[in-house]
Amino acid sequence: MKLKSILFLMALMLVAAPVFAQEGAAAASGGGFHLSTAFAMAIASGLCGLAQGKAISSAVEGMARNPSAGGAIRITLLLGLAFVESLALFTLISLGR
Amino acid sequence: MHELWFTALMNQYLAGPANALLNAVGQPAANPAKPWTNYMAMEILVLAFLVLIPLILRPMISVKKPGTLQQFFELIFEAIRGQAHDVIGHGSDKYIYLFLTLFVFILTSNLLGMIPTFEAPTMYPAVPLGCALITFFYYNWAGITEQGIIGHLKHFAGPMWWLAWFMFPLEIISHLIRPMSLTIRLYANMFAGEEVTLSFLALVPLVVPVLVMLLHFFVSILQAFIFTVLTMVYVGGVVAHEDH
Repeated sequence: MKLKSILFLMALMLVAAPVFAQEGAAAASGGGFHLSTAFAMAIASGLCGLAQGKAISSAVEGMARNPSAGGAIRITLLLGLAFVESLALFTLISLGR
Repeated sequence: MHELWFTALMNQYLAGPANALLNAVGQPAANPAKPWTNYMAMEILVLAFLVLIPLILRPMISVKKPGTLQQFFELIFEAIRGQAHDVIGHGSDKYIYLFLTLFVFILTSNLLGMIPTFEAPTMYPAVPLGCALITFFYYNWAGITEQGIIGHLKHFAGPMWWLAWFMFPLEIISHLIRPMSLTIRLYANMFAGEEVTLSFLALVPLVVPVLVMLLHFFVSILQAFIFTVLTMVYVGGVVAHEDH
């Protein structure tokens, strides 16, 4: 048991994998900051958060009313969350570079 | 872009054939000394993995005592087949091979990014674009095979004939947007996952990036599933026979 927790802690201390893919500074390049880009991404993320919260709340309420439909509701929930997430990501890709 | 050790290996030994192939199709490499890009090398790795695992599994298949690997693939198969049946209905079995291929390919590609010194080929827009174009041509082909060309085009007219003048361009645009949205959804999720991990790495070098990677792990699996389910929805939309 003790060995397991030590191993678990060691695993947590592993440096994250992407560091091997990036030489040099991991910080974003400072030149080229645009205010409008920051606002665009903030608005997109905020509205995405609201929409996903609404989706999750209806899904949880549906699961509470009808526990046997939990599987179908879970899959529909994940599908809907991915759709809303992709809208925020469109903003990131087209504007937020 | 930083060159991975595997890509460097490919560039060292296989630069000649790669350059020959690229020049033959009229797309010379940007840097002829290094024709292999990261995502091409990683895709070769995914291909090798996906060919080797079934070859290893095939002699081990048993009905009475299935091993873990067999049960893993049976789980994926049953999940995709059940989901396809839910979405498409009774004709779904002839389409599940594409869904399974897409799911397993995208899942393996996404998860390759979790291993240190490898990265996910789906992190570059070219690879999800390839999968999205396959989906696009496949579902149109399935629709034309199932309904005939006229029947397939009739779907674009919408439910009511007097709205067709309005629905037709709208549906055409909506269908053309589908490969773009599939591509960007997969590419942006994978790319953003890596970027967020790097940002957290710049802030807190220990523990916290690994937690972000856990989230990225979940997102990787989910995005593979979402791509497959959307393909099912598109195929289901065009092969549906509305019984009047």
